[in-house]
Amino acid sequence: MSFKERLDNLSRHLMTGVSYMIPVVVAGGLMVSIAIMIGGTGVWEAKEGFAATIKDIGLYGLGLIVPVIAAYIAYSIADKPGIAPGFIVGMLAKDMGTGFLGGIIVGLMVGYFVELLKKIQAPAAIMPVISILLIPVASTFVVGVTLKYIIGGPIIAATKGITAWLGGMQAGNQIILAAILGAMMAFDMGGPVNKTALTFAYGLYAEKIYGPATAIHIAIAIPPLGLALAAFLASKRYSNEEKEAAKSALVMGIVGITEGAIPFALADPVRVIPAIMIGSAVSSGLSAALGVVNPVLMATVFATPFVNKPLLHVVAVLAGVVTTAVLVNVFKSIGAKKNNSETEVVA
Amino acid sequence: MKIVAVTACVAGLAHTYMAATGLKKAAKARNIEIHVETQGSMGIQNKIKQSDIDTADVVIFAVDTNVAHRDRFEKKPILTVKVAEAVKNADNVINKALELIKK
Repeated sequence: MSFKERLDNLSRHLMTGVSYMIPVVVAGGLMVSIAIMIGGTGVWEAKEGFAATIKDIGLYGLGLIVPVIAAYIAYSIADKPGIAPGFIVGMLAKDMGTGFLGGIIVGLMVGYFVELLKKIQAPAAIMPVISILLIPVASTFVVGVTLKYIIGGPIIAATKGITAWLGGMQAGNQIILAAILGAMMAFDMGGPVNKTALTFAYGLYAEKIYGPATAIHIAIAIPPLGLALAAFLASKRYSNEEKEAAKSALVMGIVGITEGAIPFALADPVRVIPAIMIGSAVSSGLSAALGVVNPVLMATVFATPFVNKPLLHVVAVLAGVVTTAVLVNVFKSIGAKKNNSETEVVA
Repeated sequence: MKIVAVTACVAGLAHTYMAATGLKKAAKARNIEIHVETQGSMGIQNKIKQSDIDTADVVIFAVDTNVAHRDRFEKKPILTVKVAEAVKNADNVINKALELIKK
């Protein structure tokens, strides 16, 4: 297996974990958001009442982030036998405060260790003992003890270090980080780079650091909204298929699905992708510069009533949308002559 | 010639289904029989029958995550590509799959 194949495999394992984690974050995060909507920020301290109940349900969800990512990375590597030890040691990681990083490391360790144990050759009569006793018990024991006594400390230190570093980051660097995350979100419109930025931000959100989550959530709808505006402003430059795609991009943008931009990017990646990356970076960077904080896990448009400064949030969104639209049309005007015939559309 | 394929992306919203559509179109254009299973945010849809897997000549995984229940495809020649490849150029992915079994 070549190095690149190994890297691709590793990426698939991590992304499998993330794909199982996303609904957990969304469900848990939005429950907490709904609780804040009903009961105000005082709900954090509240122990009784409907809003507090909703908050508690949401916190159970957020508390599952680390175990779920550990279990499903292990599942991706070692299949079904990875799940049980992944959850158990993932719970330990969560309670030790190793954060998201700990979840990923536990998942990888459990996965590869179980995969190793699966290779044990034994007489057919003993095989059931290996599959039902040895694998779950040995992997839980070994990885659990290793985490608790050996690698847990360094992981906690690293998590605390990153958290402290981000918390103490100066305004200028915060803006740069936000802009980079915004550009990553746009780069592949829902693909692995987008999910890497998302994962990073969700991990920190779980540690109650809202800056990166604010940056990625504002960026979500900038590509589809910006391209819809671009097609509206310069309809001559766009094929009929793209004009249709612009309508659905508008809807997908409003509900917060970056993928609405994909038809445009496929037809003309060289011009579209830089434009949406810059536009998204503008929105994310500007919202950080203006001190906007988005405590709920909601995308661009729907987040507006929940951010601390709704008006400035809207300013940042519009700036990114307009930047995207203007840039993409300028880029298209540069190479327009040879581009007209080669529009390619994927259903 | 018969191909079975699985598509899956991380969020399971768009790429998964676009890749499936692309592969179906590309196969249809060449009169190749294809069955595509999507493993998106709704879980497995259009699940491929085991009998189709058994009689298929080659398997395509167009995935950014791992394929669920991949033991179904054991012993089959499998081409694994990123989901984006099947979205951008499904025809080329089919070419690669055909090359794989030529050898």
